[in-house]
Amino acid sequence: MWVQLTLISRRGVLVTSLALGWCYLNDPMMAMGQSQTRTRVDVYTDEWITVVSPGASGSVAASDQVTVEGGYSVDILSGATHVLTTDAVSSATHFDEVRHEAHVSTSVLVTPRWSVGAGYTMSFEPDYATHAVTLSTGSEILDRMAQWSLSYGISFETVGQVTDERFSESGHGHSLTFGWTHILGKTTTITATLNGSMSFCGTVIGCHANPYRFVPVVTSGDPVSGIAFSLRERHPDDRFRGAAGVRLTQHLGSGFALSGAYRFYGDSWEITGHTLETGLAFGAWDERLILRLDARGSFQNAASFFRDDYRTEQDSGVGPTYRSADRELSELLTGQLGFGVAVHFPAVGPFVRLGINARVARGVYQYDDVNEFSERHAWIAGGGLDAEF
Amino acid sequence: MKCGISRIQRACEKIWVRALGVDLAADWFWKTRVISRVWRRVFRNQTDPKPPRRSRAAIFSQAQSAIWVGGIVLIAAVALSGCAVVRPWERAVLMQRVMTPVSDPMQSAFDTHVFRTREAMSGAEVSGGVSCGCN
Repeated sequence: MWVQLTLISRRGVLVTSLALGWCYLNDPMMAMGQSQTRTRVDVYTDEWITVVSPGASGSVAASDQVTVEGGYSVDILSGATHVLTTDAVSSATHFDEVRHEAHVSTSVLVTPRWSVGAGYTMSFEPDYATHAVTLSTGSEILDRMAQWSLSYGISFETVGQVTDERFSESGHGHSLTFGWTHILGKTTTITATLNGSMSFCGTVIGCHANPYRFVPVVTSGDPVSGIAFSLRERHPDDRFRGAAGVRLTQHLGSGFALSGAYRFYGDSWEITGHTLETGLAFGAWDERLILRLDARGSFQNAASFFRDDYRTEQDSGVGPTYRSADRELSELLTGQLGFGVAVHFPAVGPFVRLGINARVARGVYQYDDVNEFSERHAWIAGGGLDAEF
Repeated sequence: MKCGISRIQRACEKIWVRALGVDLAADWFWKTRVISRVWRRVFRNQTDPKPPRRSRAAIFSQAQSAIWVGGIVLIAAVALSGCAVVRPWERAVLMQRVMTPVSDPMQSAFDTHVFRTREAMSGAEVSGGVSCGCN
């Protein structure tokens, strides 16, 4: 059954669509009026799932002021998900799935220092579709020592269920992002980003819940004598999120650059989280060869309604109002270490520049609140080609 | 006298840790057994019980206050540096590729997708990159 979306869930799709639109609209290359194309394949694999994601994107400078960008990518998912049944016996169910995503955006340089942009992203799979529109603007200020950007996105999503054609739930979301990049000196920059988003979802499963996932519960009484049964996963109908991040980048000389970043996250489900990142880059031969080493760690506490086992809950006999089997809502500690290499060739054939890059990373995810399958270990690898003309 | 040294040492320990506001460091400190053994051998009675291990949530909650202080310091750094102007012809180093956090924005997008799927957190992913200021 390919319908088990437990692992690469829908949660990220909506917000990722908005983020992708924002990223592309704020790509510095677009503001420089260059045309370029990229192709890339990334692979994610852990004990449960493998995702292969090929994609391509390109941008064209229609004029000195207007740049148009578009892209298409596919996530091919294959794996087995563990389903916790009412008698607490886990079983593995195989699934395969394909998710498509396409985006198009344009950026207009209104004045040499002020640009506006708009983008559209759509993503769909057999039981899920999302459409997102992003509007953005930004300019350089303070003697061109600082850049700010403001982006607003709205998205609409529909969740279905292939095993039940009658099931359909719609929702929408808003996102606002403010970014500020400041040059601190000839070798130092700092970037800060603030983001707030609101999601309004349906009333059957709520926000970011999986329609195929059921949660074992028990009627009033103790877990032994009570009657065990399963209810569909149910999350709150809305979610408000806020995040603030800052990155400091310092050139160390001799081709080395060091960066460090921190992000704080909080939401209305009482999840707070911290993310730390650091990266060391080294460029040689006039930056034709670049080596990168990066590390990332994050911590989040559990959502207020998350329990590892709802059968121990004392309730009124109808089960807890909100229940989730999504381990990504539990207390979570993650770590990742990556290594990348990029090679650039100037003036190759019709291209101003040709580049090739590859990266491999190892990730560990630890779910302290979850008794079964409390850890997963992932390999993330990918490679890409890019060309400017 | 021994008792006095021990009390002073413990007080210093508290002040050092509280002043930094990073209890996480203290937790890590006790986890690194070699250092803590030397520390306890020099300053503490070896029979002292090991401080109870606190939950990660508590540690990060207190570390949060330190991070806010760090944020204020960074904002102050930005404000103070506003007086110094780096002209376009002085931005050669800033425009180097090593000053951007990733080589490929598509790789960054995929990473973001993975993180947003594996974690409940999202938003405010910081990419960076500055303008050459040359057009």
